[in-house]
Amino acid sequence: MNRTIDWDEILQLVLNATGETVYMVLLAGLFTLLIGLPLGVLLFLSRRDGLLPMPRCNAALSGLVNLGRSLPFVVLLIALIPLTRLVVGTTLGSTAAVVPITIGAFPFFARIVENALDEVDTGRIEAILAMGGDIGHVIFKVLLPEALPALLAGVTLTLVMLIGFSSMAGVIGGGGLGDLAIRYGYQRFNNEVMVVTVVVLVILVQGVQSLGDRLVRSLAHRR
Amino acid sequence: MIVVEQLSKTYPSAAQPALDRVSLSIPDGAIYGILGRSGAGKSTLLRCLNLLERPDSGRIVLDGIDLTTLSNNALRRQRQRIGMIFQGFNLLHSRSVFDNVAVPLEIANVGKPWRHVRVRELLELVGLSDKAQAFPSQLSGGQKQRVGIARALAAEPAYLLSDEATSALDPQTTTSILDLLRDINRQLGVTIVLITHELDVVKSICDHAAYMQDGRLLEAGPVPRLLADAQSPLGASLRPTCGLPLGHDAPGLSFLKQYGVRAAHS
Repeated sequence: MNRTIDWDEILQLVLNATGETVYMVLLAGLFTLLIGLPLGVLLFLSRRDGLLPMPRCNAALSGLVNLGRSLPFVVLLIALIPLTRLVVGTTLGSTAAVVPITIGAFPFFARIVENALDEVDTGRIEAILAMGGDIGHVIFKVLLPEALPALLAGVTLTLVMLIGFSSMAGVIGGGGLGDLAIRYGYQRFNNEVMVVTVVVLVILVQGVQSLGDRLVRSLAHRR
Repeated sequence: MIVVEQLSKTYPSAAQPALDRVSLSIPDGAIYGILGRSGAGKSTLLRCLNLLERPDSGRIVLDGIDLTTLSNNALRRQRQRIGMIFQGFNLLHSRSVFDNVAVPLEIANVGKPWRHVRVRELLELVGLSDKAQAFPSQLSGGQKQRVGIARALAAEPAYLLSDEATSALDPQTTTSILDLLRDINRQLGVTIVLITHELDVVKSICDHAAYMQDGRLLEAGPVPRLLADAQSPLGASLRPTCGLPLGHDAPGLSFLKQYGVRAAHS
């Protein structure tokens, strides 16, 4: 097994894979936000003691969210293959991986949103109602702005989780850093690729986390 | 004028009613103080006046309109005529002082130029013009309550409900907030309904007073009439020479009274 290390090739591989990972994380992150945020708001409002009490709807949504969160992601990844084919037309590639990643992540994010809104002082909601505000005013003038630091912290947490999810997408041929690690590090015993992959993943996670922390701090600072 | 008729409410988890057939009428221009200990039902009563709390039975009639029969939209329009201030201030921490005061105007769809003028006017009124760009967390309790008052007055309400607005403040700040409320009542003609457990609040600014206990309204009327009534316990409590506590039936107090000890109000 004598071979020379071709750093140019490794660099090219890792760059491509990083691009795919970032693509999957950002696209899945966008959809997670678009689905999870309204769902989290609805979960919060529809509680028995909420502003729009709908206990049955709440129980159904809550059950769905728990179901989504109780399945291990690898199982979800494989179980959702038919759905992925339906939505994207193929089950291979980074775009196809976005479907299971989004479905794995949005229930988690919806719960985070619900908990963040729960932390908003009910007195502030009442103040808006007392001035004649409607449910839209409560959502857009109180709940979301007042919970913004907690929501941003939740987005950070979710993005880090998405990086983890996207790494597993290699299992179904989704590409990305995880895929690279499996194909080169695991199947071909290429330790150099493995090490570089790990370093890039650590940098990605650290970068997302510190950027998120900084945003949250700058918001909390003036409150 | 606010007329409350036979208001009753029992919370699902409670054995005793929070409100038990309470009837009350609050004339225009009054500063109406409702006294009582915590748990007496005064907070529930106040929150029924703008239907933050729905009574089980009874009516709340605001200038001839029965609030309990209104649709959601009509109720929201009436609520814009009723300002409210709170013990915990309930300011939005994501907004500056200026933007906090602007909230009721945004809800009432007032255009931006006029909103600007109005907010400046209100901050002037409460003496916080220099704090317009500050955030609530940078203010003292008294300043926060001034912002609360400015916000409550933004949509030019006819009524102002005060839910223990001075209970979280020190005595000096309390005095300055009460002075501000009195000025607002005199200058703008806003009718003020306040609930408090502090006798001094009623003594210093109210022209009408009521006393609640166990969900029932025991006494109510103009302060001069209560003072003149020798049979009225509330009148006796309000008399400056005799600082008898409310609930003067408490054991031991008659003993103190007998020996001429002036008990502090609780």
